[in-house]
Amino acid sequence: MKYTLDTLKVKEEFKVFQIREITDTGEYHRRVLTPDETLAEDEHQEVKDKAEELWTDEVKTAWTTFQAEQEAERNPE
Amino acid sequence: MSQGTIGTLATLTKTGRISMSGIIGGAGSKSGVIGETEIDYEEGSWTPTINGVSSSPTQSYAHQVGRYTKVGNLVYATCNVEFSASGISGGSGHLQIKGFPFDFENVTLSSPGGIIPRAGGVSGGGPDSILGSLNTGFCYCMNSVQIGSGSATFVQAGSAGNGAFLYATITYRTS
Repeated sequence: MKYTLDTLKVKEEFKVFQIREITDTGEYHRRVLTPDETLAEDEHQEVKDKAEELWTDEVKTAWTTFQAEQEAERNPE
Repeated sequence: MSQGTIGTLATLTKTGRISMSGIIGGAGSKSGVIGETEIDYEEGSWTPTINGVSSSPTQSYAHQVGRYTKVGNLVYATCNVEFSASGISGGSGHLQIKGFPFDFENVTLSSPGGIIPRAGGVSGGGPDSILGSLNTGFCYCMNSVQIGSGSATFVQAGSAGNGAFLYATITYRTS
């Protein structure tokens, strides 16, 4: 299945990517990328460039910290 | 019964947007104009994956079918995800479904969850016993629930074997 990048939106908080693609059958395909993710080699170049620009160490750390805080709240010892 | 005239109530276009407009009038009825109120509507596909929080099982998929419908900020997502029949290895931490089409509003514990009406190949959980909740990282963590006991434990990724499958229906709000 071929996916053509349609829109790339960036959430202000944590720079989460909201991606909409169009498949070769013409329907929408959606996915979300978070700053802790390793992008695939065949990722859209625009997405790679945006990640390079926005997913700084500071952003990655903020995301990781937030996740840890949420996990702790979810599973209190 | 009041009678009136209702114009075009709903038009679904190919682009996936519903526009609602119409005129309600006539004797005995409240008259007025429903202007051009657009409801954001979209449907499409997503690609569900089975993961572990610490490490994900290494396995190919027999099925990865995800569909979604979004109306306003409400997302209704369904999935059918199934591992291949042989060759699985690894996987640790809480079992998750990932790949959702939209992020979750607030990503807090107050996020709504969903149900997994059918599952198999996952020890510690089966039909009617696995529920879940949305979590940070935009994943869906599964809990094995003993109905009536009031307790729930996380299903572990290592408990997903060859041919493990999950049918899930999840509704949530996106930001």
